[in-house]
Amino acid sequence: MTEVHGTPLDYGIIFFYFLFVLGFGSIFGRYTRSTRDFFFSGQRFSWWLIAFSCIATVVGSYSFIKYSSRGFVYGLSSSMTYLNDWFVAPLFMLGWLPIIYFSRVSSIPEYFEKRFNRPARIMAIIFIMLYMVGYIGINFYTLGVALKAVLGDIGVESVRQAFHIPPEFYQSLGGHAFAWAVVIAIICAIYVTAGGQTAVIMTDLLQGFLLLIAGFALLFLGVYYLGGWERFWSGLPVTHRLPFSSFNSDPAFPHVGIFWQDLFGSTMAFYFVNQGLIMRFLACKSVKDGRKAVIAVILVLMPLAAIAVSSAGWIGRAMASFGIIPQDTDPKKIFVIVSELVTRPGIFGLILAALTAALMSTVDTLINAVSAIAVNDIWRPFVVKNRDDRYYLKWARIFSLFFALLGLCLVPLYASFKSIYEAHAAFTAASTPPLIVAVILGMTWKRYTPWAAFWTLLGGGMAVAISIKWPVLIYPFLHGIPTPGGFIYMRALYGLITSGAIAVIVTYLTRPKLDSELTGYIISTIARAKELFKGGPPNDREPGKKMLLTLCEAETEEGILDPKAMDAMKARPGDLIYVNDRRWWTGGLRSIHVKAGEPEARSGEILLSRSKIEESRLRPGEKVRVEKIF
Amino acid sequence: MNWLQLAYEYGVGGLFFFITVYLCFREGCSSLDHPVERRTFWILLLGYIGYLGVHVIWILLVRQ
Repeated sequence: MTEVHGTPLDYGIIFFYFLFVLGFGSIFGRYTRSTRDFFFSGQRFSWWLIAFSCIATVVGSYSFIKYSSRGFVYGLSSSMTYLNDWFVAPLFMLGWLPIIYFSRVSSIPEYFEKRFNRPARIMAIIFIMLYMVGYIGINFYTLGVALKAVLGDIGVESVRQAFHIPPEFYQSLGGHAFAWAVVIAIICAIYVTAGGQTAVIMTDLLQGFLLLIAGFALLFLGVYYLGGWERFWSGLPVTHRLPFSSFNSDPAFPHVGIFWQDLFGSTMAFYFVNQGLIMRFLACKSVKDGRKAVIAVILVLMPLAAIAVSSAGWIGRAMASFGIIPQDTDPKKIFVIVSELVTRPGIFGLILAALTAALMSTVDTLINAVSAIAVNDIWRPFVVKNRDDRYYLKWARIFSLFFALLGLCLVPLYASFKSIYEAHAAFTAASTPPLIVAVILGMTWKRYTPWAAFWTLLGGGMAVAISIKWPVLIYPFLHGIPTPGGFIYMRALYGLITSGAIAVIVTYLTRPKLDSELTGYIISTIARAKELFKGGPPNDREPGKKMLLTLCEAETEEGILDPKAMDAMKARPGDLIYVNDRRWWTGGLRSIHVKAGEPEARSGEILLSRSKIEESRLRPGEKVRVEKIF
Repeated sequence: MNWLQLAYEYGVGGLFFFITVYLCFREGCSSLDHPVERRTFWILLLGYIGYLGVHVIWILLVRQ
């Protein structure tokens, strides 16, 4: 799989794309003046921007190749994992999102300290850091392998020779896969370090669009190549047209195994314990926009992404039925084979750019997220306390570079020792069910105690680790799936049940926290948390209108509007209002939240202080859109 | 013909879905008296029914 594909035009497109992403991401360095900007983009963005950037993050480093492969072997049921997220939507939208937003926690470990105690936080830091740093390495490794597969050694071999790197040493690092990982790591590290979360969101927005466009282009070109939709459909065997795979008979892709492993393992981990995603939703301008983003992601964008990443496999299966390609084509190569067959020079470059986009948009999120935990959960509380924000911003940037480098250093290890790759997969399997159980019980069950949370993580993790050594423990949960495949898929269910059992037993043996200490951290206290966030009773029963007003400078700490505008917005003094660029498509890049003051402005004006105007990056005299948050 | 998978997915997944909806409303983090949250409730319900409907129609189309 080392042959070079494509033409110089394709390579030109991908080179231009690398440069464009680097420049585009780096522009947003000027929007980052504090750690709040660096990690949460100042909590200013609109739902659609967050939704599109999320899709780029969800579609990971190996998605196009992995799901095309599944689509080729199993047909349309390759979309199963993308179409089952709605079951977790209520708990995330109504419970977890308002809790993390209103309680102002900056990370999952911080939630563990506030909801439980410091030992639980330390345990969460260990679990999450090991998982995420290893995951950065895996992403670099898989993207290197993917790029090596489609780009071969264009250029990298001559670079190796120019730097006189011995071939043996080069191969021991991972060869061309490592070289491509270095290229991507440099690009991501530069723009994440410069622009933080804003750069991540903006580049992911671009990459989200690109990968959907490229995936659909591949589908339409493939159907055209085959001779139309009817011919494409007739080329799919009946078993390949169904939405679900076999319930339990095929241990390589059983429906019930995917249901538990993906929905209650990966999806729940993604929404409830993935620091990168939590930070993404915290970058929304309001909880309402966060909820809209979730709805857009799960109801609209995930189905589109499922088609985009699988389409090459479906087209490949139809091609195999008509004898265009051999029936026994290697499924792992189907994405590249179909892309090459159906695209023309230039379009293949676009497909490669989309593949790279999927890779970069996952890694940049991870780097920013790990840096957030390093600064907010390790450096600030334990190492150097009580320094000004500029100091911690400097360290946030240093950590971004450090973790990009550390992830890169793991690539040769993964390339050389398959056991390390497998060890990380085993660690992920062991750490996610206990984390999920601890977060869900922590937010829903008042009686759940701090020491129960600690032992849920430690004991649950150990229970899953033991099941890796003695998989026989998973037998009661197999649902009839043949082994050993069944063990891998049903480990998530086993982990959830053992972690849950430990949680319940330890809870009834230990003392819970006082109710007064739980405000804001459990679902029954969200209304109070919202009140504390605002600093007064919420005013959100009537949404009111959005107003177009002229921004003026004045000496005031609040946002001063005219009485008519306040009436139209159904706003009262003390309400939280959002002042935004009048052009909706800026998505909140130039915006600010302020408290409404007494309505004393002239008609059609809003008054803000100079510092607020500078912070918002708006200009005095321009028209701005103003809306009430609550 | 995929009906078992459909029943399992929307039965077990649905159980989790509706328990969490019930829990959120019972614990007061959302209220059907609130106009915005009432709309969120209906969107959640329609999303569930929508996904279920798409999967049912998909299976029926393949059976033809």
